[in-house]
Amino acid sequence: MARTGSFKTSAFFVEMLVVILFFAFSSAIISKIFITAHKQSEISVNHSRATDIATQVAESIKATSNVEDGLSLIFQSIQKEGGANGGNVYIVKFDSDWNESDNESKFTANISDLTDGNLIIARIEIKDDSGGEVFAVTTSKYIAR
Amino acid sequence: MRTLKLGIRRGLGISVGGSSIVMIFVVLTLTVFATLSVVTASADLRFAKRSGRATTDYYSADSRAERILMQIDDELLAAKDIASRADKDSWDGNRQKTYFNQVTARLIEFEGIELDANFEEMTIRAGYDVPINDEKKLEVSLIVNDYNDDIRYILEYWRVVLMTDISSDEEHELWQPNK
Repeated sequence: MARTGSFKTSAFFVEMLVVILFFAFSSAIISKIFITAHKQSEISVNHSRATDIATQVAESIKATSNVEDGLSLIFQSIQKEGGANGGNVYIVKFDSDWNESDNESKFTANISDLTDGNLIIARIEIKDDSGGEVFAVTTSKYIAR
Repeated sequence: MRTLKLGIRRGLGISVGGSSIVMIFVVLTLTVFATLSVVTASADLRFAKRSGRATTDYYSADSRAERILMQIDDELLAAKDIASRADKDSWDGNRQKTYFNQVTARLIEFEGIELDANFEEMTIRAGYDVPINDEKKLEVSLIVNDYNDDIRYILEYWRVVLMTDISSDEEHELWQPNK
């Protein structure tokens, strides 16, 4: 009787050991799958928000026929810098929740004014803090002489 | 008392295999949830990228359409310039007629522009298409104003149209209102 009891106890502990090891192994794999899903979800959210912002910028530039006027319609804090070929580059910073931010900048929208005569051309690039491009689009608007 | 002791022993006895079953159930459940979340996230990412590509394609076509509009307006300006000098050396001295002929001759040379010129009423309608992708195109139409008008053209429409036929040959039963 006593021998059967100790056998049962050791079998239970062996099973528990196997169960814990297997659970640890499988939960590591499952965690990786959840992390991958979370990262993909984050990328798609950022891509969608960047697309929305670029579309807003493009439409307001087309509506006002001016890059600076178009940007001031939708953003409060715009930094202006001199770009290549005499054009201006407008910078708008966003935090991780895509709210405009002066200090923290997780995402940056660079809007380059590449106006060519009567054709207003704006290159809208949205980048993350590592410099990777999230979304970019070029828009144009012809102003009749 | 004896029965109670046995009952406790049986109820709390160490059973082999129970924890394995519970663990397998938990792992299977977690695997199903993890797979579902990856599938959903991948679908969302695919949709976001498709939506981004559609936006890029649209603005690319829109920019090409704006450039074509600029080229047409350049021709209208050149035609107006010639018509403004028509009083002296034109065969009939009619600026509007010269302008109309000049615009027609210049725009007919343009590749991809559909021109609808009415010689009796002297009205010109010019239209062009810019493909956005395999399914959609940007359709632009403009009416050229008279020589005396300060605004050289009016945009009739600037619209996205589907290139694929979505009409169906199948007949569907439609709800008829009681009259």
